[in-house]
Amino acid sequence: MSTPVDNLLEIKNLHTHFFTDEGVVKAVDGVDLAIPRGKTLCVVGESGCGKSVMARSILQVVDRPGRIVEGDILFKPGAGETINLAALDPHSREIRAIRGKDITMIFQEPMSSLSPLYTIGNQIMEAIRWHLPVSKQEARQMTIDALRKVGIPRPDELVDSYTFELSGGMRQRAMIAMALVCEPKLLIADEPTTALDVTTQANILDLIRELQAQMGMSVMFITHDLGVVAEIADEVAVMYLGTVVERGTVQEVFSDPKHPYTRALLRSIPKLSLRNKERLDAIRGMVPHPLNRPGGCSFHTRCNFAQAGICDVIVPPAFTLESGRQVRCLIYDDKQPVSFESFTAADDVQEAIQQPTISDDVMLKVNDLKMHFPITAGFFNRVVGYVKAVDGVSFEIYEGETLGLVGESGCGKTTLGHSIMRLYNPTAGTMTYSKEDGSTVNLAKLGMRDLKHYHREIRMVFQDPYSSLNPRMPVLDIVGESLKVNKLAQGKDLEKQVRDLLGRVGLRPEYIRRYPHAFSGGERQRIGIARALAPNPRLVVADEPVSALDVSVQAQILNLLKDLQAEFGLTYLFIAHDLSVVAHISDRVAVMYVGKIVEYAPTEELFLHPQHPYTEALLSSVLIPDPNVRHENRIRLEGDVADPANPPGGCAFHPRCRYAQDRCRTETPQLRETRSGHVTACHYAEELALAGVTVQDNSMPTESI
Amino acid sequence: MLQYIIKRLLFMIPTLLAISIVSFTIINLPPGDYVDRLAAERRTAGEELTPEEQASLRQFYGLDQPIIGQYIQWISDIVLKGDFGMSIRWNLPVDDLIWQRLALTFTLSLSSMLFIWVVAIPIGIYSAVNQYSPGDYVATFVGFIGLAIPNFLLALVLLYISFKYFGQSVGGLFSPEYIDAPWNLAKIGDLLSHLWIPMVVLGTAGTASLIRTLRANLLDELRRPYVTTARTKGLPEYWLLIKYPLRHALNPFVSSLNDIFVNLVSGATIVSIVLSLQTTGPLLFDALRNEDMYLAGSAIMMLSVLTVIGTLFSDVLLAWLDPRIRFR
Repeated sequence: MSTPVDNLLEIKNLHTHFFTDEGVVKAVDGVDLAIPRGKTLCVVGESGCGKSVMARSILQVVDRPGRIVEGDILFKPGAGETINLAALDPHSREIRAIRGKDITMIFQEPMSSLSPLYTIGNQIMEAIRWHLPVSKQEARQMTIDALRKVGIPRPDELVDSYTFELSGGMRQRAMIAMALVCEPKLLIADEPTTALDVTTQANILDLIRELQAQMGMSVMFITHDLGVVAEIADEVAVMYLGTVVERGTVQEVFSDPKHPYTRALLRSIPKLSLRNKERLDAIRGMVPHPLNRPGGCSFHTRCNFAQAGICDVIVPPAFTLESGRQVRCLIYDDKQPVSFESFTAADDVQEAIQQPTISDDVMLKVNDLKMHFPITAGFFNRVVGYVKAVDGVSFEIYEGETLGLVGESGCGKTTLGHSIMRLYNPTAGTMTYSKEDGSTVNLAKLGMRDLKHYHREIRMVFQDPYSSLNPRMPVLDIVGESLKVNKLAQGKDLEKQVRDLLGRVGLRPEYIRRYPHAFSGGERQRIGIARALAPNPRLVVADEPVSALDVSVQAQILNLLKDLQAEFGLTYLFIAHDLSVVAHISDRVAVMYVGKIVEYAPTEELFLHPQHPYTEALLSSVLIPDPNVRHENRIRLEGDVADPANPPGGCAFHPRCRYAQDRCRTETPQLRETRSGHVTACHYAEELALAGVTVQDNSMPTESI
Repeated sequence: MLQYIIKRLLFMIPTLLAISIVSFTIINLPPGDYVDRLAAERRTAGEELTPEEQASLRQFYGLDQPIIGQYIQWISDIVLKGDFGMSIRWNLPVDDLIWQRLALTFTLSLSSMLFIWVVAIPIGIYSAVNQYSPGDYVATFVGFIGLAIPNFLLALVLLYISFKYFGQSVGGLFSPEYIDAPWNLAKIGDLLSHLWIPMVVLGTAGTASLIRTLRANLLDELRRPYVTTARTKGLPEYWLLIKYPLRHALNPFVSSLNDIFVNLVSGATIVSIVLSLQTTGPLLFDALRNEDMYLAGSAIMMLSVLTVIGTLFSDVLLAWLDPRIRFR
């Protein structure tokens, strides 16, 4: 930065390498960064770009076999005082005095980042007692105060609770309390909201922002979610393969991205736009493994502007532009002919997406479906209650459409998907499925033998591409299994069909003999999709198929799903918690809360004119990747999703609803048509004036090319 | 916690009942009873037991009653009077035979277990924290040797060494002059000087496997995010190691603690025979060979009860160690 800024922390030419048997992994390879005092710096980039390792290097808590090999980390806690953290011994008393006191960290998964063996109070008090000369009682009081500050209800009771007794959001709050109790000067937050629901994420971000303002600390926030960046960042650093490729203020980076990687990232997010038929601009390929880092500019293999003979040879230095921004790209080197005009990726030309045809024929009609799981207790496993995961759900899926299903975790979305797959035996209700010849069958009552045929026509894509593929089966067997089991193909024919399928989902047919471990997350999800498509299904239930993937890969998979839908005339039930994704892909959207559908309408109608307060709150928590649209007065959903074993009487949402009245506590609202083509389960749907989303079609920078 | 223990104690009752029935049944499975065997023995010695003599013997030992009657007699004597019946072969009350041996067995088990812990836990921690260091390789090597050597062989070698270089009497837990002596300090000292051989023999294999288990568990735990969290709090390495990953790593080990109980009581038969230790292993083995029903039944019963108690012990310890179990 050219203007003299009061920086709390400066990272200069940091290199952190991992010395493995396969070679040296240069996870962080020349990072320059600065965190201004009292500001928030967001570090953004795809996974595998070294963001976390860089953050851990600051406190020297990099896991073996990694260590800092070069560079300085200058920490300036007070006037004139500078400590080079990189020069300290990781076990030394000096760095331990800074860890947990001046610089603290919070992590992605609060469940695994806190030990389940000790109470949260114990773990927080420990942090205090190592750093401050206070008595046990004082430490306990400080802990309770900190828990109260982060919004944990009844802190004097919950201080003695264990992590597994708290919900995900509460755990993350406890983690934040632990990080803030010693009033640090810098908080490093490593993807702290990635594992949380959108509503919880919004609350946690608000909390961090409030506490930052109160305490005047600096925050380094690591995320891959550009919506989060736009929401909280002052400064942004974009990382790719171990280096910072672009730095600037959040306004500059979002309105005028200088590096092709930043541009590509911004373009690959599904906008909360209702012109949902367009393709997403995915970044080609994926982040290369750090062992096979391309020479020259590390991004040139995926860059649309790269020029052979230049970008693959010259390592771009950091250019400081007149505005004081720093970019590592040869476009800004006057001596090189690379420019944004030199668009070279001819193969990336957009083809207009084929529109799938939605018919008026109902393919699946679900009526009053219930899936209750018994709770047993005592010596003889008496049934003492039921978890009503799905409790009276009715809807239709039309042939060729995509029905989105949204709701916070614990709402019963996945159980509903599994019930439709008949992985469970539903407790009650019917699922009328229209076969291709027009005859109908009630899936809820099918026996095992008939189900076999039906499992060819309705297939599932799972969330986690790592655990949903058998690691001991080659791709041929994974994808071909359903063909073999159903005697649809065998031998040479089977292999040919699997090769075709791999081609269809964008994988090289030569990979047919490889095992899942040889593939990246996005490629595995493609295998999962090929497996679902193998027996030529009609309906695909996709359960959070992109939530475990990076934005760029997410865009690739969403495009693939849309292409395949048009090509094979597929019908999708698309379960997700990310509303932008759902808006992008769905024709109609159903909102679920505690086992029931509370609202159900065509996508545009639902997003623009929500009729249920729950939908309104969900929409309000969507983070829009535009720093000008910050939600200062977002609707906060307090508390957790109600316990489906013991839902509150009346409307299950009333304890969290800001419009709740007496009637809501006693009378359960039924689904009814509140606008044309729009059904809602709310007593006051017509009277409430609820806010939808601001359509955001023009807020994104349009690519000049 | 107390509620948990009470619940577990109540669950023990049906288990114990089933154990007693099963052990009694197993003992009764082989055809023929002690009198048949005695008659056959006499026959080879050229004598003949008359049917009347056999009948009166059966009546004397209660062998003529129906099997359920025999069981009820047996179990109620045990529960109400602590009377396990007579050992037919030794012609002594079973409790006289078994209690002393059980006490010795338990002493041996406990000392072996302590030996295992004291040796294995520090080595296991060192191995995990300094993975692939020379020290880790040495520990691994020694551990594998300990696992590979058959116990009885090690017993023989140690026996030879103690006899040849320390001039100790061969085998047993006491020197001959103390076997029938009343308990006093000298006798305890004598016991201790004999105890180390079986302790080391029984401990070696256990130590080796515990080092490997602990190392593997700890290596898993050391990579967990909560360890990094603890580190970012500024805790010293040794403190966080003991407080967080070690306690997690001990979890699977404690849940297999009941196995150690059982193994140490019943699994050491071969070593006990080689070292001629006065433990329960050889006694049970002998009783089974001789169809000494009351002795065998009682021994099996006691071992099973010990197993149940061991399981309770390890479960309670586990519940103390891991709150997730307590709250289930």
